[in-house]
Amino acid sequence: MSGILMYKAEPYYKLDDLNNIELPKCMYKMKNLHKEQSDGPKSAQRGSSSGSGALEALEQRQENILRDLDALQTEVAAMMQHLPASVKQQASATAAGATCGQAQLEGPVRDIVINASPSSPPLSLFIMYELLKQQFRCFGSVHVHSSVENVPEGLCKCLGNGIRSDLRNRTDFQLAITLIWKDVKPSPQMMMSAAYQTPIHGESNVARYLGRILQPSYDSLDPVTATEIDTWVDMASTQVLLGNNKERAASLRSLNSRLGKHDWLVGSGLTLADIVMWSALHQTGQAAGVPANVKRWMVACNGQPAFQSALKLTQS
Amino acid sequence: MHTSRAKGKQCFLVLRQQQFNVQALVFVNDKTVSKQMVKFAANITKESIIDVEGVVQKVAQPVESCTQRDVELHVERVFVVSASAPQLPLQLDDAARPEHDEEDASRPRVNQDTRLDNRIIDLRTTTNQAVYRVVAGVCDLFRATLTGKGFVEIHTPKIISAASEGGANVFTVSYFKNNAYLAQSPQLYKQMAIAADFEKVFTVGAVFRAEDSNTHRHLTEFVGLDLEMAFNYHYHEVLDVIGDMFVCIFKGLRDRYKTEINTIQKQFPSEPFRFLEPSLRLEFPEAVAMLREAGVEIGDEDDLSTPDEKLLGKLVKAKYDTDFFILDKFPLAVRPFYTMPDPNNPKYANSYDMYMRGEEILSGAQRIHDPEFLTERAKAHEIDIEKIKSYIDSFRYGCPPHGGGGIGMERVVMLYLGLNNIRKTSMFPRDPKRLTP
Repeated sequence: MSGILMYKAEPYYKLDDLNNIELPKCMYKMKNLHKEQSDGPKSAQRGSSSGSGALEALEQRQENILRDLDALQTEVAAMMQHLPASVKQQASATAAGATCGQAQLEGPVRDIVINASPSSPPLSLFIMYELLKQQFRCFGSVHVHSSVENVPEGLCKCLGNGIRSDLRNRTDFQLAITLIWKDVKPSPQMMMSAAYQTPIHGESNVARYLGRILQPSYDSLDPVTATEIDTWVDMASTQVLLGNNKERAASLRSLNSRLGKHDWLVGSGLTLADIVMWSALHQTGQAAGVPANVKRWMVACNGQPAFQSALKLTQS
Repeated sequence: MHTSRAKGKQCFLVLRQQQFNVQALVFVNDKTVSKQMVKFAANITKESIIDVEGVVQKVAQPVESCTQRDVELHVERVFVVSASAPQLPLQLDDAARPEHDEEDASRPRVNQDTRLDNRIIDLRTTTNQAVYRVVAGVCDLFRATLTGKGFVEIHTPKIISAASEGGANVFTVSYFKNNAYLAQSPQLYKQMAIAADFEKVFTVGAVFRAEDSNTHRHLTEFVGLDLEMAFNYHYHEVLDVIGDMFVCIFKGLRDRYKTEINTIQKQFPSEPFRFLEPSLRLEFPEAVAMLREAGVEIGDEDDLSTPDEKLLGKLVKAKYDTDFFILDKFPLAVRPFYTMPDPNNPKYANSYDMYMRGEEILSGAQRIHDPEFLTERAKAHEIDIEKIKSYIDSFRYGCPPHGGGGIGMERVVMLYLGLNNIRKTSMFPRDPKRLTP
């Protein structure tokens, strides 16, 4: 085994030149691997002798990094004090998620197209739009597709109908909601980008998407809460909106029992679950004859400022 | 008379009137029709003009080949008013055959040049009868809509002393001892009418372009539908009016020309034209973003190439499901010198294009109404101020802010109907290779 003869090849790199290469300063310094090999056993000695110096340098670097991090932390804390309470809450939930959500909204206006049938307007959309308006520079416009006729005037005028009082350009906005009244069955569709996606179906999924724009941290929130919200949203779409009478009655019973003990469907405040469920009950004409606890909850919803425009549509 | 076909003691005729036809039957009986008469009817040449007397009868089985399916005419007397030559340069049935029919692929079609050379026969097909009714409908709707909005129709001269825009692509004609030019656009005269306090004007008339481009969408003479209007607060007032006008035209066509459109669809099938009310309005940076997302490399201030426009049309259709849209805020660099820059962003202009099925049909803008600023912009474009002196001077005595645009009528009809060639919507088209008939 020891006597194997091998061809000897000249080294590919000219090792003397390696010392002259300028390395970027952002990289960790390492000993030259090739150099050590060529130097043979001598390098081991030299390594141990200069060992303490290298260790000191490393320690120094770590100190520097820690100091920089501390400075950043105090800076962020100082900024937090200037922010309003609601944003602070969200930002603390997941700072990373929030920043990435904002970054997505850079560049020209992001136009979300929603096709909906005028016979069943997706009321949750109008509520979500009001909420979005509080956080983003956004505007809505409403169009009637050529395949439908006789859309009620109230529906053509909702979302402010693209009229911008300050005559700013579209591209000065971050978000646009384009609502197109069109004969889509059985549920609304949403398009963001024709190049990347097929339409997203269902009022609840549209609401989920807009909810995630509002709160990019939604998915990394407490998993139990997120799942609870999903359950109610699913119930609203499958059992109330698209369900039969039996299923509707069953979901009203579970609503009533939940709202007997709590003010809201999930947690202690308004969530997506309340918005979608409220919309589903109104669209299926059940808003008037609900049990007492549900009634109390609906009154609480009706009192929310974001519900006003949707409420007006149900009354017209 | 469309066709006649004799079969023993009887003869089937197909009688045609414009877009509609009916089957007529001449058969030997004791009282009115002799054997000779059937022979006479069978020998009438195709396309002759005839007078017929007879009885309309219900049929047991619908007549599939005719537009009037449930009746036929039992002929008692026939007169030839005007006989056609026995040899036709093209067969009407060939000319009316659907373009892409798998079963019928082997049967003859008539090519475009044969059609245009024998236009009067070609125009007799039910399809062409319908097309030129839609053409008339577009002009009618354009006039009616704008008149309803308080516009005044004006007529502008077509023989002019100097090139109206820039100077390229104009036809020169001899004018007594000098030369004159054929108008490329009525723009200057529309603007002069605005300066003359007409507020809102439109004009329908021939426009000439000496462009040697032999494409499916260029003609050297076409009908221009032009409008110009003064506005009070913002040039979007103009966009609102134009967008609304298009919606009225599309709706009018959809509702009033159903029969014609169905007839045309039989020969040239296409997706029905879809649009939104109010019209969709996008801005240039959005279009650039959409194109980039689809993998097109395009700069912020580049003009859109024809393939870009087509692709953009497809992307917009996929996202918004509309064949018509307005693209606002073009980069200033790619627009003519008289275009008003955007006061908030000097890179862009108050300028817009409109598209149908991904092809541009209207190009317009807010115009500069201040003579000094106009001179400045003309200098920036390195245009000889002397040559456009009369244009600049027309704004020296006060002129309201205004904007407008021009539409190619043939193009609108072609794209609305989804036809593949502009020569199908021009009754006697003029292109670089055709001056007759």
